[in-house]
Amino acid sequence: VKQRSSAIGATSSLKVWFQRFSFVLLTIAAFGVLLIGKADTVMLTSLRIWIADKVGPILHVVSAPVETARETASDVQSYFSLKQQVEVLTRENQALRDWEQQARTLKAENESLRALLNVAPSPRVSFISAPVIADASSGFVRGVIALAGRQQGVVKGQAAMVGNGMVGRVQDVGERVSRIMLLTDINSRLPVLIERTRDQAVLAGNNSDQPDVNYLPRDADIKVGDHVVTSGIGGAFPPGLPVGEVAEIADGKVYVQPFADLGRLEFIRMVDYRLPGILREDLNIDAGSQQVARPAAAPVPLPKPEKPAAAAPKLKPAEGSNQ
Amino acid sequence: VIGLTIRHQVTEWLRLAAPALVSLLLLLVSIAPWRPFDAPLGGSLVAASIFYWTIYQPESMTPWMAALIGLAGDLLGLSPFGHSMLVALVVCGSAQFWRQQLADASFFLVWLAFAATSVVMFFFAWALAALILERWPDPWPIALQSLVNVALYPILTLLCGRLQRALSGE
Repeated sequence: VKQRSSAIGATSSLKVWFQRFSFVLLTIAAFGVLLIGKADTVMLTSLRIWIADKVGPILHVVSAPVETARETASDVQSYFSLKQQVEVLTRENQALRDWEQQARTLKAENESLRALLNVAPSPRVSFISAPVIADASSGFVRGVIALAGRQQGVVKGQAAMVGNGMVGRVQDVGERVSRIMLLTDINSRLPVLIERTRDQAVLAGNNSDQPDVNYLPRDADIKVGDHVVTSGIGGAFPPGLPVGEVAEIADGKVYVQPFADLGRLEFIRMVDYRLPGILREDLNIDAGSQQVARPAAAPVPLPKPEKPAAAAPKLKPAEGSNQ
Repeated sequence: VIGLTIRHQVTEWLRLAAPALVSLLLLLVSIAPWRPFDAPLGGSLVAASIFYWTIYQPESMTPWMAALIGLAGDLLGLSPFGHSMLVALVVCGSAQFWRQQLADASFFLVWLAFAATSVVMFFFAWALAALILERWPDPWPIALQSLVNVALYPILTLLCGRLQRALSGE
């Protein structure tokens, strides 16, 4: 009896000790997690995407009423501006018809020139559309979670696009979900080109709504409204993808407003341009393995690469960079 | 009799689990793809929930629970690992410090205390982010999250209060 009561006493005193020092213990544990997070990003990144995979269906359910409410609000808003919308769309339709005509002419001209020069056809792209189920953005990160993963054929490094421009790139891929790093994320780096001046630079996210352009030539003549497109350097994305336009030039910094409304993403497309980019190289992905990984998502046949992936230059991207 | 006992046990279990479940639900709601304030909410509602439950149901919202909820935010990728965990501990610690005075105080006094906690939380979160990122991040998104937290605290108090009363059988 004496032994039992002393054991109970020891247990309760241990409990009291734990309660008293729980804050200290937990603070130490949190700093430990902080240090592990800085040291071992691979393991924790895998853990994060695993959790996102498991929470994905719940997030989808939670986001459904939000999506419905937003759609209803949008419907009501558009109902009251129908006449205005019809006028805008009619004008836009007319402009698009003119563009279509020009595009047809250019396509025919391009095909005949390609035939003359015997140019190999460009690889055809495939894409996977997915709903955005979470806006995983905060003061530290800018990202979204999309409901498409490895099972649907999403591969790390693919470009994430919406109708009017680039959104970011696929950062991590789970079985059913993928995490997209937005252009505005502090770790995002994207090689870009100022369309008018042809100046090459790097678009760097800063966790605000407008990323800034780095490494511009000193004599660059940039103006507000200039269009910014991908430069294709690095080989992860093709050149010419629309990114945004120069919104502000202040204190020697050039800020870009992305074309895509990154705060209101509903659906995104993960586009595979089949380029032998450094991310693909880094992941050791070859054309054959892609073909196996994406039977449902790839409606087009894969072109055979002219050179094996191993023959490409061994460039190592910076952690978290876009290309 | 057995049915009533089981029902009572389930209600009691729900009452004890409500703070954690509500906080986790708010975490998921705050990362739904919507931006009512034109800025990411990014788990900002969780701090208000932790503060409320630490004052009014401390047996459920222990520092361990607060730390785990914070860790859930980190695991969802809203902040660097350990960051939300530490912020949750600061909020829980602040609420525990004032609990004796605030448990029977008027709503406005509790709201004021939460606003003060949010100011502390903002500076702590910002400084910690600078330490982790090794540069001073833009303070506005973090400040906005604190403001949203304070602004939505009355609604949260109303909803959590009703839930608490319903589960307590009052």
